[in-house]
Amino acid sequence: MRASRPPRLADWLLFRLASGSKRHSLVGDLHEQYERGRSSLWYWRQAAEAIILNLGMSLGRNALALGLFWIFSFALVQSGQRLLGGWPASETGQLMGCVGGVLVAIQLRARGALVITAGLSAFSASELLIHLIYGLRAAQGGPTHFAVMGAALLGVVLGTTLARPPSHAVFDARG
Amino acid sequence: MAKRDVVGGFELQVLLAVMRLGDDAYGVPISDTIEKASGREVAAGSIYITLDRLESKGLVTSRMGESTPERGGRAKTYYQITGKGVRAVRHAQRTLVRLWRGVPHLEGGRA
Repeated sequence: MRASRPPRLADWLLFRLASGSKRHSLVGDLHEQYERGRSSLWYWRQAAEAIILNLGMSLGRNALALGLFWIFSFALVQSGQRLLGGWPASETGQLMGCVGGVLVAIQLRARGALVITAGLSAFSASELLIHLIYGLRAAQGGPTHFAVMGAALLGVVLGTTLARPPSHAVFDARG
Repeated sequence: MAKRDVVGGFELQVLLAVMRLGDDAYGVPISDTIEKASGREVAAGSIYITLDRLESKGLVTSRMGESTPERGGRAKTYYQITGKGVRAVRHAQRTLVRLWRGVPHLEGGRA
């Protein structure tokens, strides 16, 4: 065994910034090569490249997921607004767009986009529900806003749980 | 062959390394094999991103292996090529051989 340890800060950064599901194996590989005599500089370079590659991939996936979500939602809301006479078709379209965004985010393994679209889905669902039960004009006050914002918060928590790295519950199901 | 199953240059190198290594195909020997063949250093991160992509395409499968003290107690992830992966490699080989033929500067192995 080598006397010195691999740079701890590099490991810490890898675990926090590299989102790949195999990052434990990646860190293990780097440790193994360090034990074989690779330098600390080599270790830092490999860690930095892995972080940059992962962040780049992650940003690309999230941008694509959010872009597709926006186009899909815009098309549905506009169709509801212009072709189907506005409310409730427009709000239903908004909800369908948000749910579609969740599915796209899961398909593309985009964690950030999943959290955002899950929050927006819950927001849209609660807004639509309140408007359907109490009417469009009756439900404009403070309690309504608190209700929909609370639902959005729950949606964000749900999205965060689904996208949580340790379990990879949703993303690893696809391999 | 579906468009999605067509492999790129680095994907092909990783698949060939996995095939060569057989039961011992995990991150370190895969990058060693590619480094020896290409003569240039390979980023460990790029190996895993590529393997992840190949796995999502169904061209390789993975299984967790043993952890050792020299790896800081972290397990190895072993990879194995699938039948679909072998077909993708054969397709890439045939494509390259067809393109190779009749290129005047490369005839007879001269650069």
